[in-house]
Amino acid sequence: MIANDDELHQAETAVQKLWRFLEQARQTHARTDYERLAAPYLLQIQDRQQEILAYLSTRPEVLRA
Amino acid sequence: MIEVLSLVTVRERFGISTPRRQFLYERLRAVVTRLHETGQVKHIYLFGSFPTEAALPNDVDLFVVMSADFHTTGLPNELLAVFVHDSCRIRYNVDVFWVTESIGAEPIADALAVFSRDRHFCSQPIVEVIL
Repeated sequence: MIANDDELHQAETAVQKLWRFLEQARQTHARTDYERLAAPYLLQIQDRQQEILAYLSTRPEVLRA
Repeated sequence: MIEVLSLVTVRERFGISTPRRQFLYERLRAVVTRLHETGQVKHIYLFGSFPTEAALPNDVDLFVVMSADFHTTGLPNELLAVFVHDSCRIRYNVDVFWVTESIGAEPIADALAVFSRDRHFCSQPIVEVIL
């Protein structure tokens, strides 16, 4: 769970790296191979994006309370 | 920094202390064996809770780099299962993140950077597993 803005930025950076990783993999792997390799990375992106959204949906005062 | 350990050393350090670790080590060994049966594995990186002090790791996480000309089409089913996420999780309790060298060095380095942090944003070890 993201606890502060520094961790938010780390999570955003990780998502961007995984996103770019998949963009590159789509261009360098055959379709069947890409579809097979992508699943765990997509799940990682989804999990991290959900954590980001959960953090951004709450005001800082609430998090510190 | 990535530590390079043989599969035997991985067992001695991380695969003995609890029944859960013994169970997961046997799954790891099976997956590593399958990967090498392709003849096209370049690097196997172990990360997540297994190469840590955690007594009860939930599963095993691997980042696997295959040779640039590797393809999954035509693989026999027992080898293909390692490269299909759901099948590998169900059969081996192992999450295999795989890619081929054709993606280039920078994305591979980026993935390793992501996997070097746990979900609490703390540094976590990465071990390259060799036979």
